[in-house]
Amino acid sequence: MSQRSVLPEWLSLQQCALKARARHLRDMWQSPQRAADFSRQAGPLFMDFSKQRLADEDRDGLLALARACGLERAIDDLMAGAAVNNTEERAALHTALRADVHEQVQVDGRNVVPGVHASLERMGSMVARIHSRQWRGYSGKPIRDVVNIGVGGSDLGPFMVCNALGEFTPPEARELKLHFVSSIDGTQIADLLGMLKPETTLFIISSKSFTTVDTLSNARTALQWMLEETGDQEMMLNHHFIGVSTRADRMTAWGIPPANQIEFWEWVGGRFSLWSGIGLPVALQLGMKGFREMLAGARFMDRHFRETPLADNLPVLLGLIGVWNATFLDIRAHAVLPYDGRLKFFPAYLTQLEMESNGKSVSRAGEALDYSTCPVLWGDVGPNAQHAFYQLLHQGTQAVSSDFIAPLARYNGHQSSDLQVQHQLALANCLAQSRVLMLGDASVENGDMAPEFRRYRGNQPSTTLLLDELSPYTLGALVALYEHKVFVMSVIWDVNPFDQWGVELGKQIADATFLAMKSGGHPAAGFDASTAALLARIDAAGREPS
Amino acid sequence: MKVSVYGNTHYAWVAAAKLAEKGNHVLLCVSEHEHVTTGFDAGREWMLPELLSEQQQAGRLAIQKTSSGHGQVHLLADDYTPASLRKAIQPVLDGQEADTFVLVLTQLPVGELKKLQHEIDVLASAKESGGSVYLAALPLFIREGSALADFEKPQLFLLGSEDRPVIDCVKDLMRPFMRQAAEVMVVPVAAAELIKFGINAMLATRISFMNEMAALSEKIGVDIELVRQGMGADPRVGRDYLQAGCGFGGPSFAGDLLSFARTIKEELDTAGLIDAVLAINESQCEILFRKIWRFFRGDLAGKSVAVWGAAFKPGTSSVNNSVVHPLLLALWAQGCRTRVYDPLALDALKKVYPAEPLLEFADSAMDAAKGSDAIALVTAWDEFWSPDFEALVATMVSPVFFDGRNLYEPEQMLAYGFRYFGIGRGESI
Repeated sequence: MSQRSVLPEWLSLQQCALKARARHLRDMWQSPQRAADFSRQAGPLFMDFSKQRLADEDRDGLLALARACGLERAIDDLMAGAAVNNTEERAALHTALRADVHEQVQVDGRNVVPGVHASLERMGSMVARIHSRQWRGYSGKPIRDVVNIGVGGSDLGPFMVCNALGEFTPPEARELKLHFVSSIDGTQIADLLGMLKPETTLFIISSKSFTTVDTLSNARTALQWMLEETGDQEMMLNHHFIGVSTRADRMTAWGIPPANQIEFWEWVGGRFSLWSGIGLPVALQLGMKGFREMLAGARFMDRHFRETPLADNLPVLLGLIGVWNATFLDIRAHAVLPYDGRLKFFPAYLTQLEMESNGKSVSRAGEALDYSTCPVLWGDVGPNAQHAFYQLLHQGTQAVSSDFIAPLARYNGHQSSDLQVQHQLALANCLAQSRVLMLGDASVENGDMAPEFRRYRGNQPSTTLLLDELSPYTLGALVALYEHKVFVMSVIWDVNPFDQWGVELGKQIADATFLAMKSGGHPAAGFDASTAALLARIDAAGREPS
Repeated sequence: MKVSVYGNTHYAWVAAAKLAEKGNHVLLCVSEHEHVTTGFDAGREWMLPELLSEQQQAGRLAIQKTSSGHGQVHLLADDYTPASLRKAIQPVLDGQEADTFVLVLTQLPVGELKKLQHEIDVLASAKESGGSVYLAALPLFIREGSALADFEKPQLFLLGSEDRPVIDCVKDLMRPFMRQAAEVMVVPVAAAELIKFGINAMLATRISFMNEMAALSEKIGVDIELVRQGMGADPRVGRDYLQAGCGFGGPSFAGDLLSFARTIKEELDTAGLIDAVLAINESQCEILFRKIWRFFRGDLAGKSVAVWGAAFKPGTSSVNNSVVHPLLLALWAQGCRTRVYDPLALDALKKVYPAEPLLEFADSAMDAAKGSDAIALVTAWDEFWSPDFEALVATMVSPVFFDGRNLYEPEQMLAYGFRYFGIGRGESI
């Protein structure tokens, strides 16, 4: 039996959960104080968790459990550079990536902050050269298109932020077009290369290890495409490829000249690497000023996380609520619902951040866990999702928890008042949906008199996060909030959120399968019957005369 | 006649000097308003300083730094925006008792003068006393470097107005020049504006077209000079403005065209031909850099390039909007050293780049070339036509010549020992 689930605080929360399961959210509003008691503000973020199935004693119990699990100490260890990634024996210091230049963060006895800022400077000089149109392609023309080739953490974060903050593009970056290529099947790069001109295209090859087969196969295709234009490989590599990785040696071996390399460090997890050189596409879109504002927003959240008492600490509360829902109330699905189209890719970003971090079933000590950890997480832009999967939220058989996210202000100073009305409509929908999910039929008078197919069960918990507005600063704070939320959950669940061994075996088997496909003869030999039959089919299709 | 001229531009100084020369009493107001965007250095126009001091000594020309003029005829010749023009015209309106004639020499967006006349009329109708204010467009066709001669003997004398009193006033004032003009036209204001824009745009279009032809010639191995001569021989085409080169610049050429492109976009709701003309030119301004870049395979750090010419055209000391800027900025961005020689424009260049570590100034073309890895010729000054080629080859680290104005014969350059790259001729790279 795992250590966590024998803690008295754990057992007492299980008792609380029994009561909570028997209680409906609509009946929790006896106190008019609840809205104030169950909400907190930190800087530009306001978090309302009064629609959670959480009574005072549940919240107190969760805070007690957090203390019993040593959360405060764990936060200090995280930020001080302790080897919190125990399976890989290293620190997880994404917070150092946004540390102020005067701060000190030690890894193996060395302050890493100067290196972080040196790397930012290097990024800055590349960005300046590209923005001033002085980064030249082989023909001497300035670069117009930048293609980020990366997958997972080297793709999702920059992609999400670039899509969210397009309106913050400074004048010098408006001519530049950013593209993202991730999938191994070549769909994206094939489409893209048909549209781009080699002489004005720059590729960023982003890979923490610089061995990711998805990324390197796309990179090879890109290089080949460039070489079709002119065979001068050295010229192409010098002027059309930037590498971002922790492994300078592998970038060099691939052919990226040292001047075009941005390094980061082993102590940066892939899905936490947005703030490092991996964020180069963001810096290209926002300019370094915007990128640094995003870092400042995250830094604000880091300080809040480190310095605020647990009961008022946004990431702590968000994480504890997540544990409460997933583990104690057995809610196995969690929806992320931004009511702002600019955050379209935020749910996909969180999918990786949360599920790759906490989709674990073994404790730090290596024991099997006897409780549920990370729920299945998905989402979409709220108003669109209302026309897609909200039906299941309202009338399906699953219990689902949700995060509603919206900016308070939008289109301020915009010419069109119609757009402001649209924003108000979005906010109205946001509030309406979380209300119906909470109250069900009770949202309207005589709702319980309707025929069965028009009944709403309600009792679906949700948190509402309001940003003052969406900006580089607030988005930085929002992303950091979720990073720390994930860490909080991992501490309570006693899992290591910074490794991802679950994705390794598939990679190995894919390599072996690929070799078998290329080897000719009878590629299906040595595989299980199902896979062998599929391989045989693929092999046969390849042999048919076209 | 008492005439006031306002502005610190080429137009203002030339008009003031020439009008004084013909016996008028001219007050030139060069007051440094906030709307003044470019100062003017009379020294860069041939014979202008001499004429100015002559007229001042004769007591016919006074230069002052306030904005209050004299007389009934006012020539507005600063670099105006529509807003700053309104500000500039205010002192004239304030003091006005008798009929007043305002001649606008500067190019403004099409339709702007008509709007302004209407505003003035509305104001005047509210006033009880005072004469009328007449506004007319008097666009000048003077080229830097030969401005005095162009003013004296214009190819086209163009007046934009439909009001008899102001037409009579201008005919009286400008009689000495109109008599020598090859063509005189008095047309509605908007027509005058369009004529001025149209001429500039047409010339620019010819140049950009020839630059496109040069790019094609280079690609398929044809000498653009042959093409140019053949095209120019057709009288329907004519020989002027067919020279391929490293782009056009200059204060009015590019600025007016941008404003014209905006007008077309607003009025016709389409990106017009002129947009393409400007885009080709923008790219052409970097063609020397691209050739240098390709020649050195993108490795320019620590190299040294001699730049011959900085003025936007020969005969002027102005580097305003010259193609030398994109070339220098691009070379510096790669860490390439530059030694620039220009017979007139070095002081102006120093003012623009007072502390650029990769910029040196040379005393002569030969001095600039000393120890350089390549020469880039930007401005077709006369003295560049026949340098001592043997001495050049001897003084350079590597004799490579990038000729942005096609001054030389490729075969001859080869014989001297140069690698020679022109625009649409010479080696292709």
